Amino acid sequence: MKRNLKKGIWYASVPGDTIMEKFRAAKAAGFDGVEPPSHLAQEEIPRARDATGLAVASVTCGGYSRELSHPDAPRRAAAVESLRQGLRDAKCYGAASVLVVAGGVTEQVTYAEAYTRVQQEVRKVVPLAEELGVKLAFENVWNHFLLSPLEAARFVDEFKSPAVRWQFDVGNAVYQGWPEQWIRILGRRIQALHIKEFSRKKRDNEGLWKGFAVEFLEGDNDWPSVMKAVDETGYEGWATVEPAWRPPGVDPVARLSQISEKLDRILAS
Amino acid sequence: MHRREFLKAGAGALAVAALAPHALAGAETSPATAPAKRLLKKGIMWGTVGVNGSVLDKMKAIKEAGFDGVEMMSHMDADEVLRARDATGLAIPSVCGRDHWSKPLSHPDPKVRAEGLESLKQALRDAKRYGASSVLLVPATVSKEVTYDEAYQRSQAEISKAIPLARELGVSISIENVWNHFLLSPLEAARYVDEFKSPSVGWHFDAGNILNFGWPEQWIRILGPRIKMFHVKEFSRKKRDNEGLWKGFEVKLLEGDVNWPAVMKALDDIGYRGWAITEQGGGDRPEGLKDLADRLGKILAS
Repeated sequence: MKRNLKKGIWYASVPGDTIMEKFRAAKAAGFDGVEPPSHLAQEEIPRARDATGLAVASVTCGGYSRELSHPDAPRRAAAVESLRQGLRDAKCYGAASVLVVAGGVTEQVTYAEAYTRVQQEVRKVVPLAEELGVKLAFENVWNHFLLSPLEAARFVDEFKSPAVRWQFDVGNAVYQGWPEQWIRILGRRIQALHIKEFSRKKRDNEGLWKGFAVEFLEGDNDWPSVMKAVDETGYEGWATVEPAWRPPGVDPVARLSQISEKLDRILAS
Repeated sequence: MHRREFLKAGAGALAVAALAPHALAGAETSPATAPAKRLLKKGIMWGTVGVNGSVLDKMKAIKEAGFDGVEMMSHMDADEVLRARDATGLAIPSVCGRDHWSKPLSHPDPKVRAEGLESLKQALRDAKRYGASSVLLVPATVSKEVTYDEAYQRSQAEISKAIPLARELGVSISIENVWNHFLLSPLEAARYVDEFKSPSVGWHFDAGNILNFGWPEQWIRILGPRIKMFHVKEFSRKKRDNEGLWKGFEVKLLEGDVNWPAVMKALDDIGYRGWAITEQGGGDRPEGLKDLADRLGKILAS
């Protein structure tokens, strides 16, 4: 069965000095789309998009949204305003969703506070998301929050809005669990996929963060199981690579083509 | 006494003391300038006691090191345990289940789950005989084969079957946070306990096991009165990051990243009284046991 998935690439990992150069490089490497951050020069993205024939997979608002749980109300308000900008950027680019980090738990921000604050703040932008027809997609990242897939599903459902969904990062889930389980539990809540590798062996033998320093298909993701779970949820959409690591000494342009080939193999597994 | 109540009382006592120092003589608490005395007793987990000899020999070493009690394993020779307990004067506050890792209540095979349940029941009976108030239970293990939701449903179903016995015996089933890839959120952990709707189910809180992905003082405040037992364990995020995940545990008490004053303050705030039980390496020799007891003493005073 041919999967109806599109190949995306995380903007920051694409070589090039300008937006146009990056889009051209992504196109040349064989991708279908790019995932840019919010707050870029809004008029340049559609130009690069149309010149290359690429699409915009989604818009990331990661750095800004990490402050959604900040103890200071003005910082949270700024994060909310940034989400609005992200939504408008996405609408302008024809992207279906914005990647949102659900704040984070820290020594200063408790798990319970993060839960309450992030829901409270994100609820403020749900009307705009609904109006623009752009989804807000929470991503599982290493923010010490929403560590359980059952809780993640509940967190989304409590918004009671079809505009709130999930951007599932495969590699980020390996540390504490099994991505294929997350995919089945989140199911139709999954709006977008991030493709990333992780090695439990490196995590255990070299250090926690070294788990990311591994080539695609050489870590501990069971890609056939992941793809089978993706099929079962009926997911069709973007599979966007977020490279967490680059082998030393490899030319960035050559690397982009390598990643595109790895993604082909992952999506066919 | 609740810490806040004590501080209030302590401040008053100090004011009185300024006029009449003898007013404090014989008082159970020290002046407010000294750390509040906590009503916590010092325990050690049986499995971490590596000194050679019989149950009695080990209990003597534990007693001599300065502990007040020991958390036994289930399925031991109960008569021998009771004789050693009475000979040494140690208390047994808690019993740790023997089979929860090998026969988890989340196992796909119902027969294995039934065996795990029977083992939990035996642990409850052992606890009753020893005068222990609580049984340490690892409720489930999430793995590649057992999904998070399966673990949740199966373990709740099995534990529910043991609640009548726990209630009858007056022993708590206390769920421990361990590295089982399950109940990773403190909010979820509290919900999991509450869904049993039974005072017989509580939590056995392990401080060190949390550090890999969270902050123990946050868990303590969220779990609050659900906490029946407390495990003292250290963890180093630095070692985890530089040497490997499991290396984080290879650090002595007070030399890792647990913020013990914050943990103790959180325990005070929830009104926890009871046992602080070390689960920590180093207990394979008498001097190692003494070192553990001394470090535990410092933690309890922090």
